[in-house]
Amino acid sequence: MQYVIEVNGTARRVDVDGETPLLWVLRDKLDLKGTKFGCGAAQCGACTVHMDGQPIRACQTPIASVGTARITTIEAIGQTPVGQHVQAAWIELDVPQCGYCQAGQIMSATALLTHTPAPTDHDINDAMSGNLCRCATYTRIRAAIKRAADLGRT
Amino acid sequence: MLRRRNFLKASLAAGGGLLLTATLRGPAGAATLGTAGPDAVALNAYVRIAPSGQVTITAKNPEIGQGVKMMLPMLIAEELDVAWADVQIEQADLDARYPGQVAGGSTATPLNWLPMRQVGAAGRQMLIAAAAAQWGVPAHDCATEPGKVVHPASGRSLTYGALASQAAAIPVPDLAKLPLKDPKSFRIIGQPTRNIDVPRIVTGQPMFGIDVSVPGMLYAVFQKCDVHGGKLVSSNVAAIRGLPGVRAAFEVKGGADLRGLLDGVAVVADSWWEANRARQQLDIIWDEGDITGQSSESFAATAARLAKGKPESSIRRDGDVAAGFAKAAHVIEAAYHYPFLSHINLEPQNCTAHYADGRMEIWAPTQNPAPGSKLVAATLGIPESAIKVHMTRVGGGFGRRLSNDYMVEAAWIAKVVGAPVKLVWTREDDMRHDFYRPAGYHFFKGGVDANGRLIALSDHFVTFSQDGAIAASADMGPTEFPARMIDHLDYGVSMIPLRAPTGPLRAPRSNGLGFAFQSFLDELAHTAGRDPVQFALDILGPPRLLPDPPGPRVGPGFHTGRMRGVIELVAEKSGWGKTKLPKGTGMGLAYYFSHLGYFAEVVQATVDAEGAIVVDKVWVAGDIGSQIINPLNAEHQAQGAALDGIGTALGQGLHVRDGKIVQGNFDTVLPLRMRQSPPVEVHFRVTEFPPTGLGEPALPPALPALANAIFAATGKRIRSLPLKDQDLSATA
Amino acid sequence: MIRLSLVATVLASLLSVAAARAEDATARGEYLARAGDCVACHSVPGGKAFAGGLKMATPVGTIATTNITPDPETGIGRYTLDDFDRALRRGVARDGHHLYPAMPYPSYAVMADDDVRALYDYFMHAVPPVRQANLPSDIPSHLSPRWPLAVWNALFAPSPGFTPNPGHDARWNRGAYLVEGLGHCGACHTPRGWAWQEKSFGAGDPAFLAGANLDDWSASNLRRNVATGLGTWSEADIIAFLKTGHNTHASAYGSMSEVIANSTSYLTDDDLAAIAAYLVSLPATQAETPWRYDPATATALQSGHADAPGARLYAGSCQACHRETGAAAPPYVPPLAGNPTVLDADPASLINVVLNGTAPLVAKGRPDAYRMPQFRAQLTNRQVAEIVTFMRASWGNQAPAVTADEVAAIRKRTEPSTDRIVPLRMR
Ligand code: FES
Ligand code: FES
Repeated sequence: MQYVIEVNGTARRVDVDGETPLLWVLRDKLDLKGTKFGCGAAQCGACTVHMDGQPIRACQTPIASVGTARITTIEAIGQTPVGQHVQAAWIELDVPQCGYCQAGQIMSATALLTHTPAPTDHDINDAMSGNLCRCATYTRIRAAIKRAADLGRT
Repeated sequence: MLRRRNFLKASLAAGGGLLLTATLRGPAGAATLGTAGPDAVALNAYVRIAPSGQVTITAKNPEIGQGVKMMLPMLIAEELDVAWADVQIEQADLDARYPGQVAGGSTATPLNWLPMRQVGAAGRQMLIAAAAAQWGVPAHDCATEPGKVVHPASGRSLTYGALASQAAAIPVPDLAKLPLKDPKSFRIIGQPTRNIDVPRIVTGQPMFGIDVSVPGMLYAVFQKCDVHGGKLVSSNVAAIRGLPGVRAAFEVKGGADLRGLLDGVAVVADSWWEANRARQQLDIIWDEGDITGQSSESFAATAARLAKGKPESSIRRDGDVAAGFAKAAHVIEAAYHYPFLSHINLEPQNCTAHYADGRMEIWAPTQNPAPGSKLVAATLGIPESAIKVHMTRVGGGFGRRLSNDYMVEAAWIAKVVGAPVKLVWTREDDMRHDFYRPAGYHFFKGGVDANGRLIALSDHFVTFSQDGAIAASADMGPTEFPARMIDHLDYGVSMIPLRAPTGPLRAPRSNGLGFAFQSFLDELAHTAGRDPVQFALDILGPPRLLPDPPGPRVGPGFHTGRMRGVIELVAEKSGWGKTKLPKGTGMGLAYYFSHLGYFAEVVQATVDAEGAIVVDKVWVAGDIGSQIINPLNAEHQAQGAALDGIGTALGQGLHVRDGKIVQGNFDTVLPLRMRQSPPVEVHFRVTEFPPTGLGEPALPPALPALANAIFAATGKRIRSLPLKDQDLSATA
Repeated sequence: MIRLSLVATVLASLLSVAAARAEDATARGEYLARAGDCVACHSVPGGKAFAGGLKMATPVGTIATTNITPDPETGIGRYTLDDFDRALRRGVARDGHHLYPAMPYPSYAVMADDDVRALYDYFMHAVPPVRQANLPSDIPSHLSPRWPLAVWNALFAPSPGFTPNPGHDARWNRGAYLVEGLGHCGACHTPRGWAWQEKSFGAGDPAFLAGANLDDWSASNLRRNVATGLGTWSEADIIAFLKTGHNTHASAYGSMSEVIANSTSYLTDDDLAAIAAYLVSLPATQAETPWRYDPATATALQSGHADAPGARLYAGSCQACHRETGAAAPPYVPPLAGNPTVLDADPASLINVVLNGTAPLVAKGRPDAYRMPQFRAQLTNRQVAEIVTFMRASWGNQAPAVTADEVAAIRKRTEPSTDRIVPLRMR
């Protein structure tokens, strides 16, 4: 089945079964490997992308349900000011360890900061608890979100 | 054939990467990632210098998030005397020129601290010799400044770039005789240094094993028996071949070694999703073998039964423990248990392999590539010389990737298929086919005298055996704390046969033993009416080195003074005994020596009326010797290890039922989440001892410190993990 | 003894849909065994087909299902057609003992003689005999004498045979035959009375398929109730659901997943259409306000500032799949907005699914790609209650709140669902 989806501002055509999760379309058909596979069950957040600006789990998003929604992945999150601030804060605070979860963390953090420019610890807990970091970089993720919020103010 | 780097460039250009490099170039003065250009000259296997002066240093070890890809080049760059900004780091493949290409045991620092510096120093010496020859002056009149050789007397200087070709022709000096820098003059070592991979990580560039892309690549899944080592009887594999996208589906006959290739069915398709969808329609009849007694309930019952008798063998016996108990003012007994654990690397096991023209090329996220290459050679009957293993960045190691089962599976499938194949496991595959941290049962008895001093301790440790021998990482040594420090002590062991394979998980042995021993010692301190810090210092006694008894794992011994030091430091930093805590909140202390590191930790935790646990804060104090190579990364490792311990204690544990692991995903095994994650304050005590590693030793004390904090908060003693399975509510 | 009555002869022509497709009696019998879902109860995962051994909890104790392979010692190898018929349609075993009505013989009673024969042929000739002794049941001894069952039967069990309703066409009658008979849908979906008897066995009674709570699942109301029943489902929706386990309104869970895996996904399109035609004819039990989508919840969740209790938990644990709109991605991921399970006055199924997740949905051997994970270990009773209450009061849903105690009770009695695919083989 042919689908045309908008990914990072570009219309992409793929020919896959409608139940194929967006995750595998991105990774294996569109060669966008920044979005990661961790659990395939909406439990780890490694596959987080934005659909019309909302963070979703690409592993649980059938391609057939995407329609005309705008998909943004880690490869293009730096095209928004908020995304740039998040990436800059991540580098500044040296957030990652193995780095595998970080694309998903950044996608969730960017979505949070987009609608909540000055998040409290509570906001961060709620928005980020769907993203696992097996290396437990949480202390720095929290600090980097606050740092990115600062960058957004100046 | 490797086209990956070309692909990296292409995807960088296609995504938002270009835009980013403008705004997000790493801070000035930082090293970069890259490959040496064709004009670079190799001084040795690690260092290549381009005419521009750019120095490419090869990072020889697997990077699993422990920061070794930065640390080893920092050691070389320091002694080579180059500016960190001129350094470019390249990841090595598995290569016979590099010793010890393994990530495990927190060994990278102790094993490489001198050799890597010598590599850099040798390069520096050769560059000096080249300059001296050019100038016709004695080498000892020359010196270096970052990136150049200088001759102070004449004021002349030559850049490394200009000298590289001549230097390369100079014989490598005797490494052992090389002068090394005085640590006081270090410019790179000891500087908090950011990880150069982060700009690529935050832009989503492909760098992990699972991201490897080879032209013409197919995707594979491999279904094994959920009972480890179960044999394949028959399957409907023929029906699978006709499913959408499937290119091949076949049965694989493996061997009996649980670390090697096992029986299973491989499904290969145009996309991973199609391969996995097709695999879900497999109907396989397995011969599971004998699974009698292979369940968690049965293990617990067997352990309890064994504990009633004498241990099957003795680990250590000092003094007369019975006499010790007889003399004691208080004697308590307690049974402790910790569960099987999976490593749950966030990047599931995967490997890409391509077999063509008698050669096997492998891209693997492995912690231990050399045995993987040997395993592939032996299983497939290919000479090792025809195997090339590329090491990718690894999405979490934790010990899981010391085994290379996924590598041999990918290689086997690729050889059958005759095309490049990427094998990716599902999370369920990963959790159900691990080398588990073995569960353990400890039946303790301890006695304190009228002064509240520990005088006698016994432990009947019930652990697991595999094929008659003790299971991997399921043993306990004769120096287990507080052995050597108290008069009457008796450690014995009994074993339960286990089908599931076991193996090292971050701080192997210590991650379970630490919980059991440090919790029971806390219990004894409270029984004695003593403050746990004072109780600990009493056990340790005066500062001294206790040598290890001879044996297979003999080490440099245990220094009581170093342990005292970190306990005192953590007590001070946490305000131990000085802070008035609200009801329901408590602090717990634990300390543990493992992987040559001394760590003491305090956890503050709050338990509400419904039994919900909030970990308020963790304080970590460590002694890893005289020099911390990258203090930024050191803090991160210590934080990560402590939080790993907290997460493990709170939410992780596997159940075995009929020989199978019940859990399969993160809805049942719960890694730590942001919501549960406390701040972690890390302090290091610098001592005069040689630098040691940090990936592991900060983990073990975190679990008992949390359990002890819960006791302080609630009066409920935690004798079994994980905490999610305990009812801590006020009404329980 | 089998008598071909006039009614049955007439019926036989009505039943030609299945008969025409069946080449021989055993193939037809196999199809009927699928329609009756015999395998679901008479097999255990990993065990031999139809060898029994499944433990079933009943209000009086646990009973184990029996070996119905043609093994002469331990199975039904010595059964004559008459013996088989008596067991199937009247609940009396060959040795004369009365079967517990966990065996849905009161429903099977509706079966036509021809079908009984075809089923018998299938079991005798196509199912391989398996020597496997039956497990004893652990019904307490004071309840064990089986003679009261005869009384029970006299009171509650309908007498054998199906009488076509002349007011409806052949398709409807075929649907009635399947739903009331072999399909034994009422065993779960019809409320039971004081003696565990289904309150009704046929379309005429408003209690029939009106929804019931069984083992902490609320088996949905299958009548035309517009909110809590199938009132908004088209015939095509019903067909899709029975064929695949999902449609744009909902996905199957609990024991309905097994019904789809082992039975309805194998039914012919004609039979599914007949079932659908029959179900849409069942009038609602009561007038209900039709569900209307209300965008307020989505707006609040989108802004990241939903402050209803449970909203933040929903955002953290559920929204990534079920989305801020509650519309999810049907048919793969079921919507929560307007879903009859969410609107059900009895929240048991919703709580159960959140706590325990769902097993993979398998249709004709092909598992579903999307599965509800369990949240039992991640959420407290209070949190589950808040989330479920939030779902029941959002996006236009209007169902009563749920308490932590209700969740606690269900947590205690239920087990998490497995993520493994467990095929029940028919041969
Ligand atoms: S892979 Fe999608 S949430 Fe884990
Ligand atoms: S950095 Fe390794 S999983 Fe997050």
